[in-house]
Amino acid sequence: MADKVVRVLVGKPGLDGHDRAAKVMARALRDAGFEVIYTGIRQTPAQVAQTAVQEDVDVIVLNNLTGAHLEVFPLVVEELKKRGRDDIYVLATGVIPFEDVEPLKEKGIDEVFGPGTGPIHVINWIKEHVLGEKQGE
Amino acid sequence: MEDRKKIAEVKEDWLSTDYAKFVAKVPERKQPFMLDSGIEIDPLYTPADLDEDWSYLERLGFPGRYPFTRGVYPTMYRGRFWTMRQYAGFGTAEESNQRFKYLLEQGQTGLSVAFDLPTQLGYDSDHDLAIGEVGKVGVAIDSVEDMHVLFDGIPLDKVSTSMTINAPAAILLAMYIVVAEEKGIDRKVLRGTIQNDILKEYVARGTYIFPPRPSMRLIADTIMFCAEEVPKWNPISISGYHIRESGSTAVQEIAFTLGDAIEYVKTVIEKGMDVDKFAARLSFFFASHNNFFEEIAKFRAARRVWAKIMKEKFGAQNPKSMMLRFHTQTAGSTLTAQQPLNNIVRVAIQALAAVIGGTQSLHTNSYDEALSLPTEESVTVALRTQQIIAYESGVADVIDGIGGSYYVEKLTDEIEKRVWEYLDKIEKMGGMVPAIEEGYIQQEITDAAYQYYKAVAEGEKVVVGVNKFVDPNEDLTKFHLHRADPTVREKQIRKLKELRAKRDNQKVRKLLDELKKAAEDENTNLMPYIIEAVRARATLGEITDVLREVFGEYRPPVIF
Amino acid sequence: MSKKKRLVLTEEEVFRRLIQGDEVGLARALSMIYREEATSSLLSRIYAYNADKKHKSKVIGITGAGGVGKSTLISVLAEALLKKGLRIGIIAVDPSSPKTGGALLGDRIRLQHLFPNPNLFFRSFSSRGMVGGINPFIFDAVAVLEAASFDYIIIETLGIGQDEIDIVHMCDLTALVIAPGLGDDVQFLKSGVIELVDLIVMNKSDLPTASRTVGILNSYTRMVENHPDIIKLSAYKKQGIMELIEYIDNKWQELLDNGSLEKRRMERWKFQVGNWMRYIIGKRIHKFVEKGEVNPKASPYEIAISTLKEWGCEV
Repeated sequence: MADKVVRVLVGKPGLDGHDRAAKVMARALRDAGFEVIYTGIRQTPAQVAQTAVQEDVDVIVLNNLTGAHLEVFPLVVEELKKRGRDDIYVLATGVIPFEDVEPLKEKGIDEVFGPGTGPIHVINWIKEHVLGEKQGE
Repeated sequence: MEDRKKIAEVKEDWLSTDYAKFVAKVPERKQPFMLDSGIEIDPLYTPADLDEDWSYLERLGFPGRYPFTRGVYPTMYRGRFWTMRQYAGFGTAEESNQRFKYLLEQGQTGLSVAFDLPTQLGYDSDHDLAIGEVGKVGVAIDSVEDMHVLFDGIPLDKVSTSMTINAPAAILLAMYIVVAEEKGIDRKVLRGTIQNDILKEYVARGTYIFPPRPSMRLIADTIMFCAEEVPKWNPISISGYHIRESGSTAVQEIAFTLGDAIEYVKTVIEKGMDVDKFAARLSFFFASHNNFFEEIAKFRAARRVWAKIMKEKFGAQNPKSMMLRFHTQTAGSTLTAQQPLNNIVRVAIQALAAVIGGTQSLHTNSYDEALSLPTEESVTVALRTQQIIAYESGVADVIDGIGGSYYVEKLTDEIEKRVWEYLDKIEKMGGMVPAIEEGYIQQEITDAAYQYYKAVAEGEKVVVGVNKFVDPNEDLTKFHLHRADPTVREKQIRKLKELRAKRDNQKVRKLLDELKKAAEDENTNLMPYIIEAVRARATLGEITDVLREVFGEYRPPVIF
Repeated sequence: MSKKKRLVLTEEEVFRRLIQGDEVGLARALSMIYREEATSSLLSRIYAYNADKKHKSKVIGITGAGGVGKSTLISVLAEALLKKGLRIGIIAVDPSSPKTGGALLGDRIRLQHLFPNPNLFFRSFSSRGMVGGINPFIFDAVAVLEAASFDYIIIETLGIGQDEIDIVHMCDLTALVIAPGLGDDVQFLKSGVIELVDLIVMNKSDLPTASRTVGILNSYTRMVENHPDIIKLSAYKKQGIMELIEYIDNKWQELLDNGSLEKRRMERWKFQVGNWMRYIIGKRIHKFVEKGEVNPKASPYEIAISTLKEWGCEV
């Protein structure tokens, strides 16, 4: 295991109460050796952002299954900007249609992991972008 | 038939000779073969595998008679098919109304309403927390005016309506009653269901508002009110679907649902109503998952356990009080984004299990489930799935056709046993509420969910198209998806302004104050007060805020 | 696609922002210490600054077994203190997996609803698999929070093993939280930590099973002369919280006035020196043991003594 500590925040902004995916993601990230903070459900964008700042995380993994991602995820990015930490990576997961990927990226989301992807994809992305580990096959 | 001992001997012989020989040449695909609920499966089942004291009349009996294992009604589908009830709702009440009419035209026999998250959480569309959520996962309802639009042109005296609403269920029920009465329909003829099951919200679905005690009070109020005033209405749909969808096993699904049910029954009885006065209208809601035989056995076991609980624990006399009537939805979490057409097959198998399992009503998921809300086209395929099962497969022409299968009977017994184990454990904790407050239920569910995830991630559990038979070149972008209308919130905000301008605001204020006082007294039934407030055009958010003031907001423990 | 660069702050900037209470600087100071990126100079500046300044934070330790309601207690405590307009800094330590090094830090969920709030700072730490004591980073984290001049600093740890004892060294005042009905009511009596803490908080005191625990507590206090103070409350029902705050304020003031606080802080400083020494040498020892050759004929004691002598340690 790398001595380098990777801290990840798993956040559920918005009213979506389905937390199975977020919890599975949190556990999987922990098993991959990361330190994981989970916000719980029903977070406002400001709550997610302040948490990310205080915990000085490397990555935020946002999850939403109810279609609120286009409006709510960019608000998290805005809150991060307000606090001077828009250097933190923001990943989007959940039920996100393909048409929404580009719009999300334009608003500051670094990568989108929609239906058909799982924790392993997020883990590999983090290893590559945060730890600089090349992901070979 | 030969005696058990003889059969057991021959089975042993068969296993150690013929079977073993084959295994030596072609090993079994897995070792052992297990169901997710932890039950190990033999290669084959015989009469000798059933319990020594297995008795047909005791364990199975006949449909419509205790213990109802084979079905709750004597004729089941030979008389009438299950209700084909597709969950629908999105955007504005106008849009949802159109989808309802479409589905009814296409042969659906009951309505099932999906509400958006702000509505489910008691927020009006103009609330800050509603940003990005209005009209997304269901229809936005802010007041009885929206409700009128939702059911415009739909004969509420002829159609039964199921509403998936929990924390503010009493309010939505009040709106339905007021709409019916304003259309000249007596509440006594209304048929339908409100989900109204708060306990599962705390552990699986997340749309709770108030803490457990006041929530249970509100639920008891609706059950008791309906028993007197809306006798054809099912005031609660005690749900296992969401528990299963959050990752539990089949056994946990039944155990935790029945655990919740016990809690509700206890609460109403403690408030002074005789069990036979309300129990017949309790209904249930389960998932239908992939493992065909396990699911069928699960439904049968559930019926038998519930019958025993009602008879032995609560002393019910009326057989109707002991009948577990349920709605089923095929398991959404099993559907994949990859190769979505495969989902049509999954849903068909799951629906078939539910029908053979004796469900009273059924929702089949659409094949694009993993990608978005269903389009008209995909929801039609889902409906046709039910119709083909009903009219072409023949399974509806006999009752409990699979009864007597040694495997299914063994599984039914085994699931029942494990359900009782959970129920005993929960009882020792003091019931479902303490079990939830301590996080026991959540821990069981999240552990099962993680097991499932690991099994799939490690390839031990195959999901066709996802970790096996994958199509690396598939292009999912070609599917036409349902798009949520982003202007719904604006539209609703406008309607709210108009509503507040037109209504008698003093009257609303007065009725809300009366509601508040009533809420502070545990022994006052809140339904009449809510109905009056609704009639005066108080909004959903305004009514919920009053209750929030009195009951407080709940934050449960988060268990990984 | 996107290759963001993690915000880099110089130690100068970190220190400057930290003492102003800026969250980004504060969080980064904690990270630098935790990731062992802080040079000795940042730590020196912080300690020097703390020693000079007049304002002293009240450092309160909350320990206890899992399930007693520590997180709930801290959340209602924080809520009450925030209402008084005070600034609170909280550190929660959770165990990490010795195998993967990963950790699920879930303590902050309990008070997420209090955010966003500029007066509340919460930081989750994993124990980084340090078996046998709280790692020295946590101690220094307290110093960091002091530099940010919080009114209250609350440390929450799982009361298992050695770190129960260490938390006493780390704080001005320590409370052991117990709760009825966990089946091991008597455990806390045997644990030894009970003699070291200032206060026993009996949570969930509204439960019917509480009377049994109260009985055990009473017989204990009757037998032992210098026993910790006892407060009964219910975090869930928000009962007894104001009394707890009053106790903390009064006791802290008492310790300050009679010079005990100063003594405890000196002890803390000394303990932390030892802590660091243990940690640094521990790492070296760990490396040595990993690579070391096995010589079953020799006694491990021999090898230990001779190796330490090699390293220049007089033993």
